[in-house]
Amino acid sequence: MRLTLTEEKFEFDFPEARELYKFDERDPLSPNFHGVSMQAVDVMAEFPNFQLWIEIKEFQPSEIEAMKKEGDQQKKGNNVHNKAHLTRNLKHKFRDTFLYRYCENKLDRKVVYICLTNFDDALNGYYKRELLKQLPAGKASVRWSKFLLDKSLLFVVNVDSWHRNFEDRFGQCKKIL
Amino acid sequence: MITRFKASNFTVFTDLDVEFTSGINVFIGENGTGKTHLMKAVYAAGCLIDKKIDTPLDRKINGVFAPNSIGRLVHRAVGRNSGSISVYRRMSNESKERSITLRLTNQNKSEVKQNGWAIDDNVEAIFIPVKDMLANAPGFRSLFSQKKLSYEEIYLDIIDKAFVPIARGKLSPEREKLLNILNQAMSGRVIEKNETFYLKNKNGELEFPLLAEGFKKLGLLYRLIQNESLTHGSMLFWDEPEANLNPHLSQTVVKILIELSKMGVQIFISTHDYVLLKEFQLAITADDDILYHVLYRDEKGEISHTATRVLDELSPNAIDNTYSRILDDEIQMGLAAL
Repeated sequence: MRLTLTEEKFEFDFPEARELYKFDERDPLSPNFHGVSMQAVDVMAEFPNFQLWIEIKEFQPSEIEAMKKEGDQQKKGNNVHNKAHLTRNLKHKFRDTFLYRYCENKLDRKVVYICLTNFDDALNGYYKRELLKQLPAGKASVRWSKFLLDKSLLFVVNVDSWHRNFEDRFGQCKKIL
Repeated sequence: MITRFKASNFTVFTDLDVEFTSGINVFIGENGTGKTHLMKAVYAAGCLIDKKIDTPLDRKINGVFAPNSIGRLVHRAVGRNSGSISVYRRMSNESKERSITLRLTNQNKSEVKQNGWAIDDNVEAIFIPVKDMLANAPGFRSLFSQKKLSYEEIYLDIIDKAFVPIARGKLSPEREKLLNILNQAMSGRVIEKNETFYLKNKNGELEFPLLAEGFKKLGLLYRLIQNESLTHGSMLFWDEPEANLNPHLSQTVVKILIELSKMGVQIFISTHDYVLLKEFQLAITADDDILYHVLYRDEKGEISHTATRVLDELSPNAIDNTYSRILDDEIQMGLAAL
């Protein structure tokens, strides 16, 4: 199945997916219209044994500059680092998608959450650690008997690391120029 | 400024030709690709620009590399028994390059040729080695002069530079700015008494051997700025500035190096550190002059060189490749759970 996201300029081709669609679809005429005032990941891919949630987050230089400034101001005050800003958006998108899927009664298979960034592999490794804490992934409380997300199924990658690791497993991800 | 280095059958190099920028030159590459050798060779030549230094290049190279015999510096391969290095430089008011060349044979014969290399001017070349030496300074010089220590000459040189007395009078504003940055990072300033260096702050004086290794490095830099060893026209060679330095201090180091470059110091550093490179990428503006060099083994196993002004274009990048490999291993572990 192939999905082209014109706005985000990405194309996905997953031969073994049962369904592949834009999850935060804003077009009311589309059968996959999201229609709820909640945040949402960009892409949903339904495979027989798992579901792939893909969020595309390509940071622009201006955003990074703004975050650096915000981070400096916050450090002086309440000690919130700008890394919190980087991951906040991805955290909320995941949690709202989780609630939406719960209401759809579609949390029946393992969730794999992939954040597609334009950072290098070293920064993505750091970014993943921060996101794991913020989601939170794994058993975050002794009172929990379920996870929001299995820790080992959160991946923060760029297009190159997608090619190296996911192409054989899920399919192609291409940046449209 | 030093403009170029050429090597033929010298240590790890079979045939190398590297051009430098007048600002900051950053070398990356796996161990054994010759980053330190290149910097040492250029440093040795840089030490001899000042006419007052009456040492021939072969002797300086021998001291800096400390091989069993100078012929050992010839690249070892079948059918090769001689090698050479040439270093080129250009003065700001000249278009023609000056050069110095050393030819060596594996029978320990050497020949030096100069083309206007030495001049009647005080040009400083400074090499900061990986190991800290300031803490070992007391007595080191006298032991070295009696040949009781088999250290490379760069260690003696850096101690000598650190002992250069502080110039009298008020510091220039740019020098004061640099010392303030270091002051903040170390919470103190460096002083010297009876061949011993101390970090002085509101709690008193702490001798260098008691300082954290990272602060010893910053302390050395403080001293070299304070005594004007690092000044317009100087060359700074720094081998792995990140060694023993907590990553949070990398930002300070990068800030200082950029400011020194603006002051007219030509800088050569080698690094294996992602954080240091990233700090450069974040701090560099369009006005700054930086060139990233990579040394690597080509398909024939020989050392090759490439350079770029854009860090993301640097390839092959052994540092990034290591992070990619770690990320891939982590992803594959995760996928195994599916």
